[in-house]
Amino acid sequence: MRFLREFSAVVTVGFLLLGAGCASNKMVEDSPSSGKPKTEQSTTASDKTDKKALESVRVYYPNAEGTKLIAATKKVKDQKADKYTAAVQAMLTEPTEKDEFSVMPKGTKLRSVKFDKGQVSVDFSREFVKNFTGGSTGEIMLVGSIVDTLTEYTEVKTVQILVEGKSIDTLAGHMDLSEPLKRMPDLLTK
Amino acid sequence: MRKIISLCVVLLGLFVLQTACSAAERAQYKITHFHYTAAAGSLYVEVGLNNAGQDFALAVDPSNPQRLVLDLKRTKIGSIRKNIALDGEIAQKIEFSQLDKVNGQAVITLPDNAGKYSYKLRFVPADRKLNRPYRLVIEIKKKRSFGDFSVTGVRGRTIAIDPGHGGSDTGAIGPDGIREKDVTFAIAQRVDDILLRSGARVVMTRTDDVDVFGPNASDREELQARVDAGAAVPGVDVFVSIHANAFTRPQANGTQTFYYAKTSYDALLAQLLQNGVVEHGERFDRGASEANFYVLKHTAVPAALVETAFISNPEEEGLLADPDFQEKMAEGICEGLGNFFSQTGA
Repeated sequence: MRFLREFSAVVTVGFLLLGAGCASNKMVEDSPSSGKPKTEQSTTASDKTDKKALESVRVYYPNAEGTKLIAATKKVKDQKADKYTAAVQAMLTEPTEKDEFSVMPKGTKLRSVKFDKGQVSVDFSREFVKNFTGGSTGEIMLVGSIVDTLTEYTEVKTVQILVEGKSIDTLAGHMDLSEPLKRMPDLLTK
Repeated sequence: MRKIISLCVVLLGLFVLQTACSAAERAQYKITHFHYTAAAGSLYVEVGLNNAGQDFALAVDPSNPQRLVLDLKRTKIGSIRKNIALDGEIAQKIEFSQLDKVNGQAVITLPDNAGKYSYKLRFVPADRKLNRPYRLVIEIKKKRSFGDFSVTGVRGRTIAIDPGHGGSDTGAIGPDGIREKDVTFAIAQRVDDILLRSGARVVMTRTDDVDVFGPNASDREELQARVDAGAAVPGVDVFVSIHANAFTRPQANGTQTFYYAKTSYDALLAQLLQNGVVEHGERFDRGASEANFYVLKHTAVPAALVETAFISNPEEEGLLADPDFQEKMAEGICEGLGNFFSQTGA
């Protein structure tokens, strides 16, 4: 059994690598619905993983101790979604792996994800604030996983979190969420 | 033949029943020894028995909170003295009495209500070498009285202390229902005591279980009200917000301090507070980290937010509710403040 599992893991990784190799030869299309000019750069090294955008996305989850974020690759279900939307959608899906868990507040729905001039605005339903439980670490891990997942795309410099279309002051009284947020690299290296 | 056998069985049954009953009526233990010692603020009362057993209990006398009653079921008091004066400081006396043929009790009289003491009953095996019998050992300790800890370095300083959350905002709630706003307030009050004792001036953003801005405020109004309250007195040197952490996973634990590097002192303040709290509280050291927190960003003076421990972790929730641990957290914070002013001079 164990052998089988390990074997299938190796095969899966192999397929993923194969997929990445193939994808890097194609241009990734932005969502047709966004109607924005494409800002994709296809030559940077980090882009190799991004190139799978339409098949899979790279998202961050916190570890159980809430001390850092761990990267995971998720399959994209909605083929029409642009990569930013696909990434946030993947974060909202309950993870299937045993070591991963979602910190998204229960019932949170994604209203929209927009990219403009280096900034992604991600708009959640009211449950994002209403059903949030946690303190400083809870806030940092939730907000950090969203910001670091989206700024993984090098063209994204900042992320603005919105709830029901409006900016919010804070989740539970710690982080100032009223302004656009920069990448939080400390959460990835600790 | 069959009748005889069944009669025998019945008789045997009756005999067994009777012996069982008389065994229950007979005292099983006898007190053979009594001794007490007082050392390092603890009183140890030893009651030696002829037999080992654990069916004894110690409780506060419901009709007199200054008395502890040791229930001595199935115990003969024996030939020891019945009324013995104890050390006089932790406990005044112990009185043994035989309640009836088989049951006894011992009553320990304390100088104050039992709530001000911690006490426990232990069972200690016989020690042949030392010629000690099996003993019931009652350890009584006066609960630590707060009011002696002080720090150097803060004299003449003005320190703003912000007990996190409050009023309509409970903050995080632990699995046993402990509320962050109550814990942060209790710790802040201890910090206030220590700092005043150490010669500092303290500005508290709240001195009660209230919203600082007032009812029905937006989050921004409430957080800005704390920043403003912390700057209400001229000459405030630093701002320290006290919190308890929470995460969706119960295993997350430890102490962490946050800062927003708006002056060249914020990071140092956070690190020294972190060091102090970790040293005194001995929880896992999650380090000092930069974070975009409202109260840290909008205060003019160096500021830090101390996440003392995780209220979402069952073990740390228990600690956060414990006055001794709250005192340790407060001592750590004050130690950090003392070191900060000693190092930065000016």
